[in-house]
Amino acid sequence: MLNRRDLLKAGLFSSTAMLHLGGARFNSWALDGGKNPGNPNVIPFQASLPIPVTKTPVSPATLPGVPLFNDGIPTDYFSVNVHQALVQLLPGKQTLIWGYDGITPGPTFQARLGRRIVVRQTNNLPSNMNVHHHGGHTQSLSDGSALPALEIPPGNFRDYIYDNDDDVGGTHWYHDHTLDVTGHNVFMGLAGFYILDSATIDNLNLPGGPVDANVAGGPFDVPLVIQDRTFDANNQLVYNPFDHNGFIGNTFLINGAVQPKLRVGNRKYRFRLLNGSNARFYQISISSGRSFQIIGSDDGLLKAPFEATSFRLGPAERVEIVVDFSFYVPGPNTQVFLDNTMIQTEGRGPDGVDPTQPFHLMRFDVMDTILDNSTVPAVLETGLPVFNRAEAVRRRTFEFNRSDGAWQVNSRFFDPNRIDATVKLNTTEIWTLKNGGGGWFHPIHIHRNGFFILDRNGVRVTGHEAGLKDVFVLAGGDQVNVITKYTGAKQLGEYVFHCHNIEHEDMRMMGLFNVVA
Amino acid sequence: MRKRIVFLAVVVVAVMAGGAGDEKPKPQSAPDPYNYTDYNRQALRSHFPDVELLTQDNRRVLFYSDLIKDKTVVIQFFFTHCEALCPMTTPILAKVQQDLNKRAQGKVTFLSITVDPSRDDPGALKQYSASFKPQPGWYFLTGKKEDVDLIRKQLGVYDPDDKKVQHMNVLTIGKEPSAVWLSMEALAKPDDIANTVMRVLAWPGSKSF
Repeated sequence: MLNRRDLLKAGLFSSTAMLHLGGARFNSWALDGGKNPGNPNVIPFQASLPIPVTKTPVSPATLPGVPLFNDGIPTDYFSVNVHQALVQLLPGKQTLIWGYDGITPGPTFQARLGRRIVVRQTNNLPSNMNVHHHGGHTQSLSDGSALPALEIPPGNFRDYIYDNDDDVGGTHWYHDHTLDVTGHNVFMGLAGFYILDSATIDNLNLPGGPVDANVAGGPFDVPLVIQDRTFDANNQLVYNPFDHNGFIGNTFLINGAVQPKLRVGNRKYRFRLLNGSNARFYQISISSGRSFQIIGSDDGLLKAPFEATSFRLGPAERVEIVVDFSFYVPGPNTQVFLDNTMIQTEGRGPDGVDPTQPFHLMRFDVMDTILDNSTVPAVLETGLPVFNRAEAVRRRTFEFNRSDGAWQVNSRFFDPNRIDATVKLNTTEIWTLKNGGGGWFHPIHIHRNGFFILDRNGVRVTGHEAGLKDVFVLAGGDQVNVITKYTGAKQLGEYVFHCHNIEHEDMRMMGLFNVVA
Repeated sequence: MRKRIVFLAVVVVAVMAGGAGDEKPKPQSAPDPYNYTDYNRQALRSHFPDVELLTQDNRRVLFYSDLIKDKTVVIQFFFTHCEALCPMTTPILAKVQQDLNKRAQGKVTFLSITVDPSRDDPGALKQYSASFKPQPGWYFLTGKKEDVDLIRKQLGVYDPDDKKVQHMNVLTIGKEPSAVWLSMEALAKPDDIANTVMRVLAWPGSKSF
């Protein structure tokens, strides 16, 4: 019996064959055949890359009942109207989406370390919703986790308080987290960027920072969210709520546009990559094969840049890179692609990397000559927290597995009334995250804190995985040790941790921890 | 000012014949894709094949038309000879039904479908169900094996990894008129399941965009 590796080598790559290897598998609903399938109705590289608009603050007087503070911490107020909208994604009919302010991705929050923001989210969708600030060091009641008590019914609003008292700035995001239907809600468009900046980061003179404030031809600091989707014959997003393996789509959006293009100049650019897919894994590289600098992970910049030609990006992970286009001669035919070489045909997990079959996610047209005073210094983030293994007061093990066809943590399903771990404020803990196996991939996300990975299967990690993170990819059989310290007296109470394959999450592959004083 | 594109396909088939037994076909209009609820209700219909099933009272019913359409349902799969999980699951559902009849009398339909239709005929279902004292609105169902297997596949509970019964112990819960569907494990606490059903019951529909 041929296995996947044999087929890969032979170049015989039919997704139908893949799906029937090793016995019948439940066919993921939306597959279209082909290794990195694309939608036959798509003409790639037509749309220009959208840059989501930055949210602007409003006066709290316009938000009756919004929390006000007299503690001297500067606070900005924002109001978001969450509603349905039509967008032109494919030729022909427009697509109905659900969006924060009616756009997808939603507007970008540009926040600053030490500056609090309050966001009123008003629900005008035909569904319950909530908002989770992914990567944020957030108070429990504002964390938007899956607890039904935190949901916003249609016609109602909720005020979310973000203290922005994290240790460091980073590229966060926000998305829906409504219990049991998160996969659907995120699929319909409910996701956006939340960028937390700091004076430390400003002073690095990274591309797009203050050093480029007066340089024309930008932006040079570009968020890129990758999402795979499948559209029906009427160009609509129809989610299959009965596929619990993980949604895999055949059409690829970057910042909400199908395989777009971006005109760039012959200089450095900072790209903040976010895997916004429900379950798909990507292996990112640049088509020319040239290396780039990895400068950031989920929750902040790295201590030092890491040169790489490729990296794996699991669901919900963020990786920041600096690409230097000065190696290319600007001109109308100078095209460089952002490539994905990860083959994945079903929700269970990726099949593997095949560098001979890159899929072009977007195109960079290097056309302009632009001044570049930006730098990638040898020392990046100096404010990263230090977690001391010797100070760990508690070790916990969580095993993620499949039982009776559904998803469990330590052989139990999420119960909003059951606490799985009580952690004490200002203590250090080491968590061992284990994947039961069976060939299933589980990207585990823990709310509230950033962690460092101590090891994966006894081996130290490198690249972006060595940075401050909140998503930990567990391949089948993996065991990852992670460490954190539960600082922050404002952030007491209940938080969740869960698999960020959202279809698994919706089947309650989730646990609850409680931070106590 | 957003343009609104209205998509309406009207299919009318006129059959003119003299015979007495002719059916009059209804004009069909495709749902408006910009009405999220209508469109998704139609799109999700393929997950509920309208196959014929038999209840524990030997009544013939159609799965979609009689048991799913316009209803809020909890769907369980089981078989009467199950010794492992079903003896734990069905009593949980009985408690859930009692609880929901206090909070939302008669608003929720329970469907328990056998995965072993060759052994579980209506008589066996009747006997099995009696021990759980189901209240009205709970149907124990059997049918042709290929029809039951099709339902299981379409609801995503057919588990090829399970060599013994190929069966995921999952409840499918949904409110068809709101096009909202979710799954949770059958061995959850009864009040967790009941609370989930109450959330689903309260789910809204949508007006056209």
